[in-house]
Amino acid sequence: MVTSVYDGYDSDNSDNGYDNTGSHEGEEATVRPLLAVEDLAVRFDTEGGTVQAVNGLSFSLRRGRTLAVVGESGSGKSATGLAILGLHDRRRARISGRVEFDGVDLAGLQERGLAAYRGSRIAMVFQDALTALSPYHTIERQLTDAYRRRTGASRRAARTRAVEMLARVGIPDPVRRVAEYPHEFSGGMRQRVMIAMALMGEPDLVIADEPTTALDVTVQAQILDLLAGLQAESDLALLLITHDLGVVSGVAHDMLVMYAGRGVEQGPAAEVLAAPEHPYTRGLLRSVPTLHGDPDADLTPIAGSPPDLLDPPPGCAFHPRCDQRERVGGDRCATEVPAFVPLGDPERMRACHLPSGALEALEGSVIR
Amino acid sequence: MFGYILRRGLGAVLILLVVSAVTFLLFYALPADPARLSCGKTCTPQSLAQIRHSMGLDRPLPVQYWQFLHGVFAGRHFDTVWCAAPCLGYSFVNQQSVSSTLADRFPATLSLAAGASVLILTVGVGFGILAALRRGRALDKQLTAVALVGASMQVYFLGIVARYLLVDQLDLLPQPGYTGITSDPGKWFGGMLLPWITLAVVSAATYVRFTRSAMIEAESQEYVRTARAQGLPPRVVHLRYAWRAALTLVLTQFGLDLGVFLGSAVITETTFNIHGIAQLAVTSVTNLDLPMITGTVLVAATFIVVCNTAVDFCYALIDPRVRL
Ligand SMILES: Nc1ncnc2c1ncn2[C@@H]1O[C@H](COP(=O)(O)OP(=O)(O)OP(=O)(O)O)[C@@H](O)[C@H]1O
Ligand code: SF4
Ligand SMILES: [Mg+2]
Repeated sequence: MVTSVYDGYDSDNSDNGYDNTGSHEGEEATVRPLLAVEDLAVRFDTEGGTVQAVNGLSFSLRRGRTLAVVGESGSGKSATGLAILGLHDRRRARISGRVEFDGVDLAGLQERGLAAYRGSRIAMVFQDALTALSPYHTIERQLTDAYRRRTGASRRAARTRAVEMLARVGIPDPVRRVAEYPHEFSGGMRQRVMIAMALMGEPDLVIADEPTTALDVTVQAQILDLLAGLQAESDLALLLITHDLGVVSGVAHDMLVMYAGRGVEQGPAAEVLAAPEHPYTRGLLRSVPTLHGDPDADLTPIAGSPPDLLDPPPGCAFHPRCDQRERVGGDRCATEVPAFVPLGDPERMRACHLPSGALEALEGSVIR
Repeated sequence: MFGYILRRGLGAVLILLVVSAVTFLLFYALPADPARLSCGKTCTPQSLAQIRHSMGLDRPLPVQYWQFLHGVFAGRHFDTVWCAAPCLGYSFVNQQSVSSTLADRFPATLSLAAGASVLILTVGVGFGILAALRRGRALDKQLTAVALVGASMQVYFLGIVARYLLVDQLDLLPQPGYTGITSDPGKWFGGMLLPWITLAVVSAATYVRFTRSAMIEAESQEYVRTARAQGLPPRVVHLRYAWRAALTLVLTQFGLDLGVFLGSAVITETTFNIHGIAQLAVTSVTNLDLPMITGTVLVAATFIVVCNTAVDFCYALIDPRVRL
């Protein structure tokens, strides 16, 4: 099993080692991730103070892989996705750290420089296609506007391509529908349009921010299948932002669990879901129903609520809610920030003071 | 589309009927006796009765209203005189036909409104967009400051000062005044120039501020972010995507302002000595010239109804979700 590894791009970390048994061709690509985010921080200056939405986050992602970023509402998932493409309002957000994409630090680029990546090499799929698509413009206009500008394609050629993309994402009668407006589509079809839009530029990386949250369950599954299919077909790197663990087990190769703007656990999705090493991850798993588990089993939501990012708790940000902190000596949890470090296997990362293996594997915790 | 126009047309007619009924009632049912007013100083009871009869005032009120409506749509007899549709009666003061007086005066008011609107929208909206795009920078601050000064001006003050300076002293602009556009387009334009500019300075300022905030609000729409995420250049993102949402807000404001404009037309027309509908209304009220008052009220109401219908129509053009 091959996974992306934190900090793997740096040559001095090459002793972390990479497993080359993955399906990906070419050794070069396995050594060098497509996307390497290092020590990313996103701060918003608000009237109440500075919100630390993302706080020293690092991860990497290779071609042909799907990395799921999970966490409760407010954990900084969207802020991370937007920061990669520099989409935050520069007047309000302060970004630091590196966002290395194919060897270029995107965090150091201005709007003009970023425009060369947006839509063409990195595409975004947003949560709610109803608000993320303009109600005033036809699908054709929205799909072809950037494409034509980039490629100089004629209107006809661009429309033909838009129709192809709509067909590819499974929209029936695309020739007719390309001329319609977003409000004339159903929720699922609209999300397909968003995905078609992302595909227009043949991106290497797609960032999908909760692409199925606004949809009902059956449609959710269809959209996920579509994304997974496209990902495999085009050897895309897919950064899938979600708070739904069912989504993770269905389509992700790897997962990164975020809490209060930091990574708390990372690893191959199947491993993390089967044997979480962080109390927060385990809490998340316990709070969702499982398919092969006992349907009557009690679901235990994590006690308490996510921290106030204006004034995050000292030490481990999760400590006010953690049921394991007694097992850690003294009040280390409340004073010392646990480092996000590999757990033996370099692919498995965690930020917790507990000794590794301290959490017993959860029976039937994998959804689906 | 056709059904929509028909519905709106019928709605407009209905509104105007109500307006006409209310004006009619107010002025004809009030204690002031129109016949008395029309009769003059040396009024004998015989001539009063005579006038009352010729004006149809000796009939029941509903009949009078019916006759009034009949006059508007199909013409009517006043005594022996045939008053062709749209007949609104004759002035008590000078016995002129109300409808021809209105037809005479309305173009001046319309010219004021149309020209000023064009200037206000192009200048106000243009600078508003510019300020929004340069938000927080020097140009934005300058524009906002200028807008503030402009918005604090009054038409009569600015108009008189500008007239004194630009027309009387420096001779940069022709004397304000109304000339029929068909009789001499050049003179029409020249005479309207100062009023237009004055109105534009005063109101465009409001539009600069309004457009600026509408644009800034529109920028926070998610689809504007989508447009950025697609790699579209800022110009396209702002002017094609954000602007569409702002336009709806600006249009709403403009629709409301058309009514306000008519309300303030009295001041404008007086300041620039333009004999429009508003001045006519003022003199009619002073003279208690009831048919003329009714006429001006109806014209004003029609103007507003037509404008609002046009604005609604524009909505449908801008926003495909608005079904006609
Ligand atoms: N523009 C902004 N200004 C101020 N604070 C912001 C802004 N955007 C996000 N935040 C704050 O940053 C934190 C992280 O937000 P983010 O949207 O990344 O969360 P998320 O993990 O995507 O949550 P969700 O599941 O609700 O989408 C939240 O506390 C949020 O309130
Ligand atoms: S560091 Fe302490 S508080 Fe934080 S998750 Fe681990 S045990 Fe819980
Ligand atoms: Mg989010």
